[in-house]
Amino acid sequence: MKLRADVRVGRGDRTIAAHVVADPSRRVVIVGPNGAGKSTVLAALAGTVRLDEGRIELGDRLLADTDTDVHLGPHERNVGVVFQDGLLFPHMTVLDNVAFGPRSRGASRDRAGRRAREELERFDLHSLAEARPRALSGGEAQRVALARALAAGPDLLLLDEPFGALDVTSRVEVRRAVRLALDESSATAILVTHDPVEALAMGDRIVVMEKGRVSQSGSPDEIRARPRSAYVGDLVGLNVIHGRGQGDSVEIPGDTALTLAEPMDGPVIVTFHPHAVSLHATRPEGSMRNVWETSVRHVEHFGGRVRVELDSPPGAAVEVTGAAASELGLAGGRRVWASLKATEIGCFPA
Amino acid sequence: MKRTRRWDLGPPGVSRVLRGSVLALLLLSPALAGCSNASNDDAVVVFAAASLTEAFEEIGEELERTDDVAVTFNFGASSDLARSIVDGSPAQVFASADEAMMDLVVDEGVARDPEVFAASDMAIAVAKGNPLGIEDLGDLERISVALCAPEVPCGRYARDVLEAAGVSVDARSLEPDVKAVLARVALGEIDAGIVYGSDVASSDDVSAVSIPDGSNVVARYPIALIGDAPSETALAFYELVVSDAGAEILERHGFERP
Amino acid sequence: MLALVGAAFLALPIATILWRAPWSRLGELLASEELVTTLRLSLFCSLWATALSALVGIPLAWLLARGSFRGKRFLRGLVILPVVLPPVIAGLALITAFGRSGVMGRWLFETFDVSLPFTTAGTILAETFVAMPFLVLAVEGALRSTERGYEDAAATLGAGSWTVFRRVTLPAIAPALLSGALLAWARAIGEFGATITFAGNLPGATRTIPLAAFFALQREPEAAIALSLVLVAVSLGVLIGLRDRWLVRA
Repeated sequence: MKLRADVRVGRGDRTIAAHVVADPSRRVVIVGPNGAGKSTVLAALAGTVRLDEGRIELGDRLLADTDTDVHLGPHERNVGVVFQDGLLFPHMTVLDNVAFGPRSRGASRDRAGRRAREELERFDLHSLAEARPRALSGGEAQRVALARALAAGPDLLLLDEPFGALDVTSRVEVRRAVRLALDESSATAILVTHDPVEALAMGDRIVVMEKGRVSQSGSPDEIRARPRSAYVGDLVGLNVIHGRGQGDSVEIPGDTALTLAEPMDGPVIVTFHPHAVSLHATRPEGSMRNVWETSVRHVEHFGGRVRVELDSPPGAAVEVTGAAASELGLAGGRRVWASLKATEIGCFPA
Repeated sequence: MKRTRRWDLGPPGVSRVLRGSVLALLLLSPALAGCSNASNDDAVVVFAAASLTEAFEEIGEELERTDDVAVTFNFGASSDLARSIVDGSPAQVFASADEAMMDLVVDEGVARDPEVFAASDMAIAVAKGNPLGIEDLGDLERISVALCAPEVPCGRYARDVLEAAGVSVDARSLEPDVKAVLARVALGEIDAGIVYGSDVASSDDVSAVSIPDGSNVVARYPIALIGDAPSETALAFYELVVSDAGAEILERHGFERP
Repeated sequence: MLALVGAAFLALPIATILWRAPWSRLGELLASEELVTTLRLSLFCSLWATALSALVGIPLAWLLARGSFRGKRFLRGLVILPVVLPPVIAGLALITAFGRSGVMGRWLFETFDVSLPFTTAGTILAETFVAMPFLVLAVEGALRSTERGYEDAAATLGAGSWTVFRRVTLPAIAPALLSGALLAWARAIGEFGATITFAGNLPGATRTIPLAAFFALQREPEAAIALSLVLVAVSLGVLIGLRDRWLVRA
């Protein structure tokens, strides 16, 4: 079912606002740094938090609308949630946990039990049916939580950092289970994560939230091609710098200008890959037009590669080989020359 | 430095808080409090029937004024007081609402030579102004009634009165002492109660309906000194109660001379 | 040294009541018709008081633990008040509220012809008044410490608020509810001051064990001690029932 949500919720002295649209049976990933308001948006969709303003529609059902004072409780929405820490009911067996949804929606004990067993079988959990939640590993618990949410037959499935509390092995196991579940289910799904790899791998559509606002949304390809903030740039591994275009020159912070291959006017966003920048001890010879002198802010080693952060453009990241780094004697405060080919620079209107 | 009192623990350097709390401890402990009272010759502890409350308080004030002594009262059901005296309560004078309870104390050898000093008949206590128009004991059958519990003297007297009148009353409550019965009537929770005539006479909150002589009984109040060596103050209180002056005060509070 | 004095002070009266108990006549004393009536009445009233405490106390605890409203601290203070209020004052307060000329009492009497003082219902009311705080505080504490997320999770699975309460909240607070109910029951069955003040003293209707013991003391001390033994047994039973919560404290 199609989800159309305009969410505005006050949280202390700030407001979380997000517009989220999800096409039927598609997966939307909400990604953003911790504290961006992602979980609040999910809670608003689930109905455990009331909207201060806005409207939520799921298929042809109106779940909430502050204009007409509609607010369906969580139990009336048919929206399933998988919580970060699972929240399996500790006093019930795994089977009773999974049967809880069908039972609450009026299924007989037998029917609910059968439904729960099917769901457990699908996730290869049937041997744990009589176990208590505290006896499960983190990965098992999260798979049971997934089975429990799906057994209720939700129209919309919300997953709140479902891998967040897991170790690496369990992560893989649960991620596989979530893929399986989403592929087989007709439910529209929204997954919240702060992990960019996860976001880009699992989403049909990405919504990026920063500081309580949606900073960008689009398909993973669109996000990759046109990151609009430093945070999204980090997600996709690009430097993202806001500037002002004038002909084929862009003024950027740090009293620098970059030359573009194609002219563009007005507020623009320029992107370039950390590999695209070369560092030199002295001013490089040649026809390159983007050459500037700057200081190194600091240096980080990743295996054979070295990540260097520059003073200009402020915070720009550059990646060089370990050999090049030691040859240049790179360290915080070192003056270097940087060069960047115009053809390596992406540019689009801000 | 004066050290006449036991709880005066030391030089002024001892904090007042500490002395205060020690004093509180002494007061909380009946045995210790008893000791200090016995040793203190200008104070007396009187245990008396609840019905004597107002009259005895006036007699106590009289004694305090003339003799510069302290009189401490414990009013309650005579049966309750008698038991606690037998159990060793620090009473120096006991005034009972019936002779049976006094006999109990005398039989235990705790008191000697009781003297009856006052008497009271029984009466019906009703709400101020008698709004229900109660006229006699028979009327009690159709209203709510509180009596003293049969364990206490006023309960026994009430039972005797009802028996003599041939009236059977389903009491709503059996109270621990006569003042509790009066309180029920005064608060309007209960329509009527059978109490001592003296009680109704001394109360501003209830009215009295008298019981005809034929079915009434007379409660006789004996008083006695407790222990073998009564203090002078105890003796002074005792003598004031049985004197003409005492009798006048008792009469003002509705009691009769025996 | 003072610790030993303290321990002896607490232990001695209990020991002596056991020592002075008329063990040989105990069966006979407790089997007398009067005492059987008293015991039955006490049990009846205290169980009702516990049930009523749970019925209105659990929602009250829920409100205190989960609600957010003005005057919540005031309400909590009000709930705790009967614990520290002298029972006789509690009884007096009940008279002013539910007595025949009390605010509620007059209305009840005029509208439904119901009068609470001096009735078994009045005894139950008085016992509930003093016992309920124990249950409310125990349940409130438990509700505070349970994870709200479980209730949200149950709701997203389609459970209405009653189902959530019955299948998720209640099992989570069950141990606290049980111990709270046990405490409330012990408080109710031992209640004296509020009961005698509000409900009076009438064998078979409002004379519970403590009242009977009080009056028996003036007439037949052995019977009073026999009755006291029943309450000592109740207290010990409650203590044993709650030993995991109180006696095991590292």
